[in-house]
Amino acid sequence: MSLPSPNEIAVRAYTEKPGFKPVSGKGRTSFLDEPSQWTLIFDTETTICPAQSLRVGSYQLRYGGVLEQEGLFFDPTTLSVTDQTAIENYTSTHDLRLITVAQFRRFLLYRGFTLNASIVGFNLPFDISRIAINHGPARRHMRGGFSFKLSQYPDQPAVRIKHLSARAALMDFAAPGKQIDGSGMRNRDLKTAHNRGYFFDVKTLAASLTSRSFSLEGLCAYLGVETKKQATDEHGGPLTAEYLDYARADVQATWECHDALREQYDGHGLDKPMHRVLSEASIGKAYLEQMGVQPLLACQPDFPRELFGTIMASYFGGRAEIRERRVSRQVLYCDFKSMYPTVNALMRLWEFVTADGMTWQDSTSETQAFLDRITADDLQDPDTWRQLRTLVQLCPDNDVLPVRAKYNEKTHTIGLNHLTSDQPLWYTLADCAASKLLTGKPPRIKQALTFEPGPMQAGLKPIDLFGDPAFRVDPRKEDVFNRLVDLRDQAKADENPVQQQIKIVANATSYGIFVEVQRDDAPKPERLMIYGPDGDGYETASTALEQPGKFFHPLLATLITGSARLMLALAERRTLDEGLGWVFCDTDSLAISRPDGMDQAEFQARAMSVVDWFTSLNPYRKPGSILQIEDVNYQAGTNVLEPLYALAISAKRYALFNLDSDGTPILRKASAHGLGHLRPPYGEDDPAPGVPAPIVPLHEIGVRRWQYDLWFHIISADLRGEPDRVCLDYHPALKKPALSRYGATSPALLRWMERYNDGKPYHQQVKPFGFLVSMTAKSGLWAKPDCGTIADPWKRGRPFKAATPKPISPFERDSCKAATQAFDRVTGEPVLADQLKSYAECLGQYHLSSEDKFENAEFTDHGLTRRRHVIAHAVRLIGKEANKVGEAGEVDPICGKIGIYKSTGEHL
Amino acid sequence: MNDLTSPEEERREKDFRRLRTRNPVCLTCGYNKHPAALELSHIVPKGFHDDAGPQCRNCHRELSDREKDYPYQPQTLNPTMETIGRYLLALSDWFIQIAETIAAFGRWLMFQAEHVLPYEGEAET
Repeated sequence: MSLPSPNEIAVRAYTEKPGFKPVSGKGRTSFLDEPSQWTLIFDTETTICPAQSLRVGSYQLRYGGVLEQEGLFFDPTTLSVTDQTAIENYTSTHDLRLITVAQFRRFLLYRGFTLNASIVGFNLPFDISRIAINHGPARRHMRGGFSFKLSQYPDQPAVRIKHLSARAALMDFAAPGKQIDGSGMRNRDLKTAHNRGYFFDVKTLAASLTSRSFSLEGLCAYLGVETKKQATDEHGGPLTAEYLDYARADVQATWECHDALREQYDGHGLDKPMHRVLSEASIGKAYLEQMGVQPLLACQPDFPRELFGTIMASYFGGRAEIRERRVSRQVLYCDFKSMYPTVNALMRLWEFVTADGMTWQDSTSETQAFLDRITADDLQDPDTWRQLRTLVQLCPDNDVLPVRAKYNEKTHTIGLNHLTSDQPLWYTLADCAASKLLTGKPPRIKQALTFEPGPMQAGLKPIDLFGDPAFRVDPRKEDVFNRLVDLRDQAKADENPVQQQIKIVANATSYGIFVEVQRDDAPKPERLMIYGPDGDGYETASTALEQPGKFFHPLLATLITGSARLMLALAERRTLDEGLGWVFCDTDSLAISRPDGMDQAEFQARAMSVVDWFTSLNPYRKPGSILQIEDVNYQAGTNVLEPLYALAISAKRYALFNLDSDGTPILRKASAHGLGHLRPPYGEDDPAPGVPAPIVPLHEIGVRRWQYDLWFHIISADLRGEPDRVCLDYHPALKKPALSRYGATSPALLRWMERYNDGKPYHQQVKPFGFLVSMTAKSGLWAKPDCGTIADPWKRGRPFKAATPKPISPFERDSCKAATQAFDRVTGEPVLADQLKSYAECLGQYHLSSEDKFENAEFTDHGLTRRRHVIAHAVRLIGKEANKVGEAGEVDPICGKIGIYKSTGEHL
Repeated sequence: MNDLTSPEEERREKDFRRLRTRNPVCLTCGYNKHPAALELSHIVPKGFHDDAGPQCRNCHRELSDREKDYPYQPQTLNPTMETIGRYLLALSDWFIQIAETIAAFGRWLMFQAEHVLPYEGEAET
């Protein structure tokens, strides 16, 4: 039986601080923003105890790429005499410098701050944390990060680091504690910008240029550099020559990777300096700037914020849901080609990107007429999509629309459901058209606003991607979204490796930067302006401060995602009209299912009919339908279609597989959603017995070996008719306590270790960017029962109920060892190993994960889910809900809360 | 470490940061022999706009002298228009000086053409 439908829904609000000056409105830098020819590359090797303190560091100093000096550094107060002797002998033999870590700190400050050297490392925040004297919380725009003290002298700057994601961190030198400007400047209220330094984290660069996460070893292999990361099992052992060779090789490999990535970045021909690249979005923005594109807030700084509130209220993310749950079905798995660039091209949204602002006008009657007459066939005509640049206000009356609510009573998620509301709400016209397609009933609208781009900006200019005229892109004459996909198709056909980079540029410029919102968690409430859908703005105080990014253009973001949902709705409609079903959809993909009793040939013919329907909407040069049959539908490495099956549990949790002649599943694609935050219970070299080896590489399937084994068992249980019974005793490692690893990447996370660190000297403490592990305590019936206390007859009220412990432990790879050191991060009390959930217990209900957005989707339900009917009595204004979700789909334990600003209506 | 400090290099880095470029050349006369002899010259006083470029001390003094004819901060009812006007006036002074440098270079080339034999390989065939 499903949870009752929520009666409060949420919409996004637009927020900014009073007096906000958009980044895009600020002038260009008026100071030197270029490092010198010096480069300092370094790496640290640490102890294997939880503190992971410095043992030995290795560095290179280069000038113009040429090696000038190489050396090792160590901490004489903590390194044993034996190890010190070993290092001395090694450096003497290899003619290297040997310095203390204190000397290295001075060296780094002198080279990096005074002489503006580039400071390079792999996972640089960790290394800087290892050499610091001390740390504290950073302030001002780096708050939420750390400030690392590298010198006892106040006139030397600290290094500030603020973690942004698993792949990126902001790093700079803080202002030194001395006057930079002379009295003449100070008397005239003039200030010189202090040197922020040039920090390059090779991990960040690699992710930005390739859209992938790498270890150093993996990156060396990917880039094909000469020096490979060596393997060693001597961590924690005495320092030997081989170990020191390993440490030096790490630095050399880091340098070579940095050099290769610089060459790759230079190939883009962008003006943006490489030290300002933090992600793929940085690359996208750099390309737009290179073309002379001015952001909306630079062209139209006085754009009414009330209208931003209206537009943001209509914004919902991509649609991800399942229709048939926990039933293995044969499917044809299809995917829309470059969904976001495609809908951009169909709606000609590039005109907005290059426009000098935009205008809007009321179009209520025309829009209602459009909705009344629109059919699916009309939407086969690309010209119809140009008319979708409209937002509508309506009081939904059982219309099928995206609804953001706490379906599970805990977190906000978005489901396409029936919605009724007396309060008017804003949606894209595309969402309303989708509703009509799925219900047959056009929504009745109260108001519609159609947007038009202003005149083309002056100053736009063509660019040659990678400096190659063959890849010329002219923003004045062509739709760049379209052009990038065409170029990529051409490069792919030519087997030109730049096709991957073109894909990154296309993805980086087509959506995310237009809805970028920068989040700042203030220590105490600060003034914030909120704009909701009703056009009213008001000031409040909040700790969840969100401000628009540089290229913020919410109209584009909402039109893009709305049209993508319409595209999926069309695919769904066509599928149902062909008498087929569907198992799940995920933003731009749809798994079309074969109904019982339909033979293969007919299924394929009808599914192809759905695919072919979208051919006319192809805006690209390469012919064919924009709805494409994915490679996973074919036998590995061939063009032969092979029956593919899908088993979906909940949104984003599904697997695709073939069946061999014995009926054994062969996984082709699977999701790690809800699993990625757990440390692998066993390695790739110790797979579960009885599970066939994967026939395609695991990275193509999308999971690690232990996740692959889990899915195999889930699918096998379903195939043998016991979908509820997945035995998790197939590997002894699953009995161990389940671990999640966290980096102490913020002061809030590091505070978890406060009790552990208490009383220890600094070098024995868990430091910023060190690791810790989190476990899950048993709760409810599985928790250890209270011993019981005699009730106090004088105490009134309900007896105190002990909270479930939140166990953590200093980092240990071994699960059992970590469990022996577990303590509650709230109370500091030890948590016994038998109070911790094992992997088997944590995963025990994974195959039953409920899909709370819909009905008939509770734990043991299976079959077709049903859309809920949400009757909204109240509307809540919220900030970015993705802030609360970790990268593996789990609830982020530390990101405070999403901003919750206001609620209107009647709460029942 | 005996190479911890490099005072000359420190001075150069300060010069480059002061001049906002690692390749400073006087924008008026082309002097680029030593960064210490160059200054950051604002096109208009800083009270109007922050655009600036390197100039040698002599050129900077010459151009700065003309600035003394006008106020150092906006004074009128339309500061935006005033800023644009001051900027254009200053720019014209810069262009006059640059034009004189170009003319002098042209005259030098003409002299060279008359009196100096061409280098091997440059002779007309």
